[in-house]
This record gives sequence, structure tokens and C-alpha cells, in this order.
Amino acid sequence: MRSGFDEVIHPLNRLQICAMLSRVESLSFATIRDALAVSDSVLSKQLKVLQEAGYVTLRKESFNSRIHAWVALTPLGRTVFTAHMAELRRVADSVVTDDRPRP
Amino acid sequence: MNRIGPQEARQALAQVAGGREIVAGRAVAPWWYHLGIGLSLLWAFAAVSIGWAWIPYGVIIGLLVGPLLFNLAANHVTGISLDRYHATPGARRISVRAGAALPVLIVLGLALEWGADLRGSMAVCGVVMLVITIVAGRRIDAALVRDLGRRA
Repeated sequence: MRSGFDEVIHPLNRLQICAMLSRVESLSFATIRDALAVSDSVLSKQLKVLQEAGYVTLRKESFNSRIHAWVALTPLGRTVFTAHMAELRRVADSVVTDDRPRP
Repeated sequence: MNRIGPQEARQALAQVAGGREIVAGRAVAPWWYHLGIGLSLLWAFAAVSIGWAWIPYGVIIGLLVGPLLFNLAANHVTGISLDRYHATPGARRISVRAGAALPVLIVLGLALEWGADLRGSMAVCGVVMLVITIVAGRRIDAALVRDLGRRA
């Protein structure tokens, strides 16, 4: 059976980005940056990796004479994130199985 | 074969929960959002009471342009783009219940305004809709915070 574990999503910042995006349509670049407490350049690098994997899209729009970037999960990103979460839960729960007293 | 251990998986899941709580905390609409949506609806209702010529403006501004602009502005202020009325099961349930009042108030208002010739009835129904929108809006915000922060 193919594991749902995904090396691209798993690093902490990328996992949190996907987790935040998984329940909304999109988030502004600034909201993600503030939530993760990282710099613009660090977030840009993380988003580029996710973008190149086809997991997120970046949309820029002008509002109040400023450019705002919005980040959203793609259908592929949503599918991969869901599988990754299922795998994390499976691995996390496996310790319960291991801890059970053996006959 | 697992590429990570149970401990690391648990830490990752905790980080995911933390990220979701951050989003949930910011999903609450600005104070003016539900008031604005309610006032848009009130305008749509009141246009009927004002006169025939105002009905198209009531429909276009009150039901389409107003809610659209308030939604865009709220998205930019909060940094979160989502359909607040349908984003989660809890929010959807409240929206459906509150939304059921809309056709009832329209029919009642029109019947009183045009049928019983009671001037201003539609505007009064609009005020009722405004109150329902604000009260339901606060409950929807609470449901969003609860549902968005919940572990999957």
C-alpha cells in the first residue's frame, strides 16, 4: 500500500501553511507570515517549494493602491495534505498499539 | 516502513492544530461586516417601500453589490478569504435557518405593502431581517472559530 507521507509537505513551516490553508479558500501572504512569525523571504521560499510541487497557487491583486498576494491550496495539494495527515495520525496512533500489553 | 516515529508524528499533528487555531482566531468577521450585510438587505427591502422606480436599485445594490463589497473588504481586513456563511457545517446550519426568514419576510412584507396597502411594511420587514442578520452573524462567527480550530 502506498504511504500518504509527503516529503514536500512535512517540514514544519510547510505543514503549518497547508494546515492553515486546508480549511479556507485562501489566505493573504501577510496573514501566513504573521502566523508563522517568519520573514517575507523565508515564507516566499517555502511557498515556492509548494508552488513548484503544484500544491498551492499564488494570486496577486491590487486593493487600496497596494498589491496583496493570496495563497490557496490546489485540489492536488488538498488531496496530498489529507493523505499526509492520515499517515501522521496512523503513525501517531501506532504507539498506542505498541504500548498494549502483550499476552 | 515509517519514515517518522510516533513522537515526531504527534508533534507534527500538534503543530497542525496550532496552525488551525491561528486561522480560527482570525476568521471572526470585523464588527461592521454583519451590520453591513444586514443594512444591504434592509436597503433591498426598503426600496420596495420607497417606490417602484427604486426596486431595481434595491435588488442590485442590496442583494448583489453591497454583500459582494462587504465580503471583499472583510477578506482583506482579516487576511482570510472564505464564504463565512457556508465555510463549516456549523456556520451552514445557522445560515440555512436564518436564510429561511428571508423568503418569509419578503412574502409577508409584499402582502402587507401591496395587498393590505400598509405603507412601509417592507421597510419594517427589512429591519427584522437586519436584526436576524446581525444575531445570526455573531453565531456564525462563533461556529467558524469552533469548527475551523477543531481537529480533523
